[in-house]
Amino acid sequence: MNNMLKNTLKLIPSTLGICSNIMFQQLRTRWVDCRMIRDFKRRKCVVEYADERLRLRTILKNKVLPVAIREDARAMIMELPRNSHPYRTTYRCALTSRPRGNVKPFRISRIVWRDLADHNRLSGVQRAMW
Amino acid sequence: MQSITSARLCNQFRSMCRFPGRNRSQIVRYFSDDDSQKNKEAEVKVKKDTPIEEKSEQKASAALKLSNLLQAIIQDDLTMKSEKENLKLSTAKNKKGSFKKVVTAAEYQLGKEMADAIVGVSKELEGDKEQIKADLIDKVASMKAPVAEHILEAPVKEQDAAPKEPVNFSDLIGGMTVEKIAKARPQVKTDTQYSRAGRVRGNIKDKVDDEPILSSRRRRFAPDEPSVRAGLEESVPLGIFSDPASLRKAEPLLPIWEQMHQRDLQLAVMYPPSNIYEEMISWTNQGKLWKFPIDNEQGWEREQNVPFSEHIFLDKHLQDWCPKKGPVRHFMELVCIGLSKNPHFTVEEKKEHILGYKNYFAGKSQLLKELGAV
Repeated sequence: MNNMLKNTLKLIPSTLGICSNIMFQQLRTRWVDCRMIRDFKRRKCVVEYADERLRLRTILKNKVLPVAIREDARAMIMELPRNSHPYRTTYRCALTSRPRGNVKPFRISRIVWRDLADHNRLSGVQRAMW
Repeated sequence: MQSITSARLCNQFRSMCRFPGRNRSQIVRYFSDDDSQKNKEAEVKVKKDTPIEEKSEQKASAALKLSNLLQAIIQDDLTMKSEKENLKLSTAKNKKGSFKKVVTAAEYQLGKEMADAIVGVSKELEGDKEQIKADLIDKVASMKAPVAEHILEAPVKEQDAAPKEPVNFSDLIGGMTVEKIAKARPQVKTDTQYSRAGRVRGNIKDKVDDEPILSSRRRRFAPDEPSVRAGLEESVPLGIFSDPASLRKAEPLLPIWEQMHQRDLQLAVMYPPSNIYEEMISWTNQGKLWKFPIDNEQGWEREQNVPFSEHIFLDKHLQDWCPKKGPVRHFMELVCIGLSKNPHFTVEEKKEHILGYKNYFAGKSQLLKELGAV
C-alpha cells in the first residue's frame, strides 16, 4: 500500500511544491489488498453459480441415473467459469488479509486474534490456565 | 479589728460569684483583716463600743459596703451598655430570594415597562384615570405580550380601587392575591440522579438544551413580536394548492436529514435503563434474549406463516412432469427426500431446485429417450 502511494507521488512533478516525505498512515478502506479483492470477486461468482453447480453435482454423484447422463453433467460442470469453484476461495484474515494461520470462527489471523484477546476485545476469550 | 464571721464570708462569696467583674483589690479588701485601708474613724469607733454595739456597727458597715458594691455594679452595667451600643456586630445579610417582590396587577399581566407607560398615558389624558388605565390594560392584555419571569413569580399587591362599572379585568385580578415564592432548587439529589442513568440523563439534557452562546444569538436575531395577530382561518383561502392533503405525503428533499432528525427525536425520548430489569427488557425487545415461552423458531421471520407440510410433502411438484417409473423418478424421489430433511432452505428455494431439475431433464429428453430411461 505504501509503495502504491509513493509511486503515485513520484508522478507528481516537484515543481508543484508537494513534499514527498509525507508520513504514511495505514489506509483503511474496505479491502486491505488486491488479493482480498480478488477473493471477494471469486466468492461473488461462487454465489452466482451455486444452485446450478449443486444440481449438476447431484446428478454427477448419484448412481441411479444412467452413466451417459452423468458424463453429460460432468461436461457441463467443466464448462462453468473457474471462479465458480468454491475451492478457489481462501479464508483470509479480514483485517490483514493473511491467507494462513486464521482463526476461522473469528475470521482473523492468529496474530490479530492474539492482540485483540489480550486487550479484552473478544467475547468469552480468556488466557488458558489450568 | 473586725473578725471574719462565716456568714459574712458566705455573703461575700455569693456577691463575688454573681458579679465577677469586681476587681481583685476590692475582693481582697473585703476578705482581708488588714486595717490599713479601712477608715480609721470606724476602727476607733469599733474599739470604743461595747460588744453589742459592735455587732450593730458591723451590720451597718456591712450594709454600707453592700450598697457601695451594688452601685458599682450598676455603673458597670451602664458602661457596658454604652459600649455595646458603640459596637458594630455583624448580622446575617439578606439572601437573594428571601424577600418577596410586591407587584401591581398591571405589572403582573403586562410587564413593568408597559405598566409604567399606561400610567403615564392615563396621567396625560383627561377623564377618569382609573378607567383609562383599565381600558388600556384590557387592550394590551388581549395582545398577550410576554411577561418576564421574575414578575410572574412575584406576588401581586391587593389594589385598593373600589369596584367600578363596567367591571374591569384588571380589577378582577387586583382582587386576587397570588403568593408565589421563587421555587427553591432541589438541593438533595435522589438515588436516580446519582446513578449512571441519572448522569446520562443529565448529559442528554445538557446536550439537548441550547448552549448559552446559541441562545444569546437567537435573542439577538429573534424576530419582533407581531403587532397584529394573524388568524389562520379568518380570511378566504387563495386556492393555490388544489390538493393540500397530498402535500403531506411529499418525500423529503433530504432523506438522510429526515432520518437523523427522527433518530434525534427518538433519542431525546429514550433514556438508558435505570436498572437491570429495564436493560433485560430492552435486550428482549432487540432479540438478544429468549422470549418466554421459549419458541425455537424465534428470529426466523422468513417462514413464520409457512406450515411444515409444505416443506415435507414435495411430491406434488413432481406430479406434472416426472415419469411414474424409471431412474428419473427414482432420482427425483431421492431429491425430494433430501430436500424434505433440509431445514435451511425455504419452500420457494426447494421449489426452484425441483424446477431446475425439471428444466435440465427437459433439455436432455432426447438423450433420455435414446437410453430408454423415460
